Amino acid sequence: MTQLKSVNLMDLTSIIRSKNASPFEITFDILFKNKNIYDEIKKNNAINAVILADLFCVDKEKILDVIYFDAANAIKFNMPRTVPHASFGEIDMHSAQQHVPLQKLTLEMEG
Amino acid sequence: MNKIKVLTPTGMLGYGFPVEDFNKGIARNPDVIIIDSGSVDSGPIKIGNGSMTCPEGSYRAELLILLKAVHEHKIPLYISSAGGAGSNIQVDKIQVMVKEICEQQGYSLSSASIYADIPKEIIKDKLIDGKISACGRSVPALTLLEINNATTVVAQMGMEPFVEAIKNNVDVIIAGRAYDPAPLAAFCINKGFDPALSWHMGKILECGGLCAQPSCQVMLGTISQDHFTLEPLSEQSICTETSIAAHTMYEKSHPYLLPGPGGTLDLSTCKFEQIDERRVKVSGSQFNPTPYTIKLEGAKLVGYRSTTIAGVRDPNVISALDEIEVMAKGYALQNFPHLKDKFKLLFHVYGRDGVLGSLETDLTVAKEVCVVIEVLAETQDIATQVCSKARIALLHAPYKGRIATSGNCGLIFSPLEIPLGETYEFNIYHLMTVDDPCQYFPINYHQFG
Repeated sequence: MTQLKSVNLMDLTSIIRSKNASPFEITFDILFKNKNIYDEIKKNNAINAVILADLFCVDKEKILDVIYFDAANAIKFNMPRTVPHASFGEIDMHSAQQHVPLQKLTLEMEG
Repeated sequence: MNKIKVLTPTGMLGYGFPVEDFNKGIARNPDVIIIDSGSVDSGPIKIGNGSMTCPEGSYRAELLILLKAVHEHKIPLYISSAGGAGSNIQVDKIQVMVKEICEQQGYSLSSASIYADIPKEIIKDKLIDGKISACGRSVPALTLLEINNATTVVAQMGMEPFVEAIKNNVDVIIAGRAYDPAPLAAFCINKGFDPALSWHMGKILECGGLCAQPSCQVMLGTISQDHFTLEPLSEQSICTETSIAAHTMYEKSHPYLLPGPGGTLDLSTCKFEQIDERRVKVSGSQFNPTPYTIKLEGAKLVGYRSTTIAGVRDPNVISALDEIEVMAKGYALQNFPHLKDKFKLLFHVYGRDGVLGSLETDLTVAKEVCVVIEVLAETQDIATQVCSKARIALLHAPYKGRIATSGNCGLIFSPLEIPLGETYEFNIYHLMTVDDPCQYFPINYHQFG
């Protein structure tokens, strides 16, 4: 049995960010430090819609997709914006701060 | 021609760039200078009323530097999505600046202005013909009513209108709304380079040095037959495999399938390789042609906003802010009963959940918070009146348990209420199928100076 240990996402990644992708969606990017880390996450599907919905306290349907991108050792997922871009109630014009809940994600990693 | 060198001074005309880095780029003998000037990121007001993303003085200062290089080194300059939204009025504003600088400086330059406003009648006909679809699953279906409501609609042109202008050998192109990589793709593909690599390099360089580590402004891209390389011109910055891969997937809903006018860029098989300390080589990009669509972007006026900004330090007030917000709405309605359902009022509470809103999961509250009151109403006058009543309530409302009775907040500005002007919403973000990529993008040619 491989011993698993809890690791914070911040220690596995070089980039965690959010940004507008159209006036109606927010896109989130997670780039891992190296291929080994990325491969382990991908093999175990360790980051998925259920985990992300739980982390952001939203319905699973709000996590529109979770896509693994091998060439960048990266994961992208999308959510609808809470208000359309720059409408009444706008809080983050560029959606550049919405990634923050990801900084708390802890994963069980091998070795 | 074995190689093409493209110089991008910054990711957004008007955002600024170090002149010394730009001059370093010019010393490398680039074949073209390409600079993006637009984005939907700064809000629908840019389409809605033609206001520009940056102050006019910023555009003029940068155009002065860029046009000097065009004049002295005979390097063409392509500006796309002029002014922020790339609407006709913004193309004309940038064109006037270029013309005046040429006249003042004694430069003789030829220019092409490419327009991107789409007449509503054409959009209605296309909608009735079933040639319009939502651009993305979060976008509502388009209706004739929403087309009527839009003040202005632009479309993102592909590379073809640029190629048309390039064939006329102009020194300067001032294009309206364009798919961000289009001017670079047009220049490279017109010279016979691989479409996939051309589009991919365009996608990365349209943001200037945002792809560098740390990010900078001025970038040099070099395309050859089977790859391209990227190099930042700031000595403090480098490109890394990670920084370039990261930028490839930046602000797109899919990391490696990038649909655009006439085709989809497929980056699932591309390779990022570090070739020296500062440069990254990219290869393996693919481009798959698709039926030709152009993306429509439109905005409608939804009213006028006013705001008040206040600081709160008293913990009793901070914990009562939700109660005070309800009291503020009540106070406004008590004074203006005829305005029921005619305004929207909201407290943004910075230091609590101001930035993440409903996505905030950390319930910690800071020792002091900033309250920004936002009011939207049919007229500026009503918005400011309602905002005033809300501000008075925030300042003086007798919330439960109040013991500091002279005021609930610290205000920083007089006037206490600040009118914010027109408020727009995006109401068109749709794909329109077209037969001819150039049909809706007329070009006017000029000779300046």
